[in-house]
Amino acid sequence: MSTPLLSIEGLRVGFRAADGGVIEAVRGVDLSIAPGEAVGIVGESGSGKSLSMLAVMRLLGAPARPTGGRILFDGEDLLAAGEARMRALRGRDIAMVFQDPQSSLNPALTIGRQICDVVRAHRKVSANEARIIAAEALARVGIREAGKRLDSYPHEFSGGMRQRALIAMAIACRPRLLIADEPTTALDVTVQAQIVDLIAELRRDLGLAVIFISHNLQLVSEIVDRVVVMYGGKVVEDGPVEAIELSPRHPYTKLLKACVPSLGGPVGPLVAIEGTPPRLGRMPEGCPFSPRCPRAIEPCADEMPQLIREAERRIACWRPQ
Amino acid sequence: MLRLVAGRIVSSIGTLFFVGLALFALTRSGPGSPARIVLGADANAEQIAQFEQAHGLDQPFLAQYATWLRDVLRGDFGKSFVTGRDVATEIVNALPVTLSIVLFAFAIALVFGIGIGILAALRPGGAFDRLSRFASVLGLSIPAFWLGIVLIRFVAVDLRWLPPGGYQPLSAGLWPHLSTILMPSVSLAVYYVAVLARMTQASLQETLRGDYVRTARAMGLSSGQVVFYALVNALPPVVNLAALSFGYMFGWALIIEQVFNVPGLSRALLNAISQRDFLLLQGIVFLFTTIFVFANLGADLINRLLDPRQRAAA
Repeated sequence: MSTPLLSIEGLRVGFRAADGGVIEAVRGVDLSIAPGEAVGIVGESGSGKSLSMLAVMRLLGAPARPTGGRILFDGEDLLAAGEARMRALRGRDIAMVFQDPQSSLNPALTIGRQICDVVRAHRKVSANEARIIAAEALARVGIREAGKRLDSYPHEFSGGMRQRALIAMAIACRPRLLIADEPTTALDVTVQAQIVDLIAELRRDLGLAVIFISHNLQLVSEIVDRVVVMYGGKVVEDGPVEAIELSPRHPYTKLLKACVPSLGGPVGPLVAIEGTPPRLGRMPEGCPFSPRCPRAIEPCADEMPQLIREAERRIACWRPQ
Repeated sequence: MLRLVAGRIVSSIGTLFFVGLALFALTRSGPGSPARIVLGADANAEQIAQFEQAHGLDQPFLAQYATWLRDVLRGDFGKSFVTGRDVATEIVNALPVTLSIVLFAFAIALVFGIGIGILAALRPGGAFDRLSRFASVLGLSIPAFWLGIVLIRFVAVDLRWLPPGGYQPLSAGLWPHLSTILMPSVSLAVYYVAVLARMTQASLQETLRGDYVRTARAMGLSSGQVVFYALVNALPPVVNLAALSFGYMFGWALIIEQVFNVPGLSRALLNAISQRDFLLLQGIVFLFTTIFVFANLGADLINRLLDPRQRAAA
């Protein structure tokens, strides 16, 4: 295996609690992404997937902060990098797009201005050159008459177009890693598919590594090479997308998969996972999924299973299937 | 956009029409005829009737208003009952004094108010934020006239850095002019510095939490640009408040002018009130109202420039 582009080792993210203690929401995440690889991170709300990626960007807002581990990007520990260094990396080497395109663009500035500002933050180019680069980026994400649309304001764009514009901002400086945090959740289903296709296409054309965060296993499976399943601030299963799709081994992955009804399959009642995710600060000693797990046995609730490598996948379960 | 501006100007003029009516009614609602004051206590009824007829005071209320309005539209504010001098000339003579104090105070309020507000919003709960909160409460609670008196006591009387009062026009030189309006302007500005700082701080702190600010940071924009991104969205309420403040400042300037013995509009206005000099009184108050209305119109237009959604709605 080639040297990873991004390697997260034992990452912990905690919130300072009112009583002075620290509540951990990300509890030792190990994860690595090869150059050009596309990885999906899947899990319910509160599984720590977004927080982990915000930690990579060093954009965790107070009171959340990394409390342990390392994040190596191209060999450089981002958790030890200064703010100026992070600013240089963000948007140029690692870019991130977020969930809600409605509010993620500045309503007071034109699309072109916002893309140009990103370009000029990282490259010494004239205003005119920046505009040309911005128009190219906008055209690349499939916006027609990109040159003209540079002068549009966000409110003149549809939701899907706004997400495209945000992706244009993200790829304008040709980063090596694009982190997409539920980029389609706020969009119509038809538009969702378009955005997913766009990201797949950009990845192919630009050689981008992509981390696609979602709670929808099926959606992610369409474009990624590998799926990482997170629960309770930990990675519980990680493997090639086909393997995860065909034979999920962690009971949680299996249930996640069952939650999405398949097209053409038999019509039955919708499956939901019983119970709710564990509350922060009230994590069980052992496997965080054990209280909801249909296969839980004796040691599950008391001792956390290690993330064990098995052939091409990793799994943390006392009783995998 | 142009149609919108025209529409707003028309509605502002409509506002002025009704404000003028209310003003007219108020000046006439007080006891005592101007004739009694001008002609003295021993004037007989006939003389008073004659005076009232000569100045149109015997006409029905609405007729008086119509006459006044017609004259005002032609730029004629009438003549003072007492001195016989042209009201417009009287105002034009006193206005520059008040205007230079208010404009200077307004500049102080904008620069320091918005500046302090921005710095405080950058680190919520930080030392500067807490200091500015404390200073704001102080600034909001100190009456301007009292601050003026304190300034006179220390800066003028003890330190002898600035004259304790009076006024020098700009034509007398920049420093002589500044030395007379500095203390009045600062006294007037302190309250508005505090108000604008609080508003800027609150509004900017809110927009700094916006998703688009996170996007800007995720794209590696400099911290200055990130603040700019938040600020363009934080300014509209500040602009509105600044416009209101500008209008209110003229009111407070009257008191400040008394404290510093400045021959501005306050002297003219106080004389007009005590002497029932209706036309002069109406002229000055109408001027203040006009300034107030147009300051708010200006704020609306600036906000439309700041917010493209409002521009589109036009």
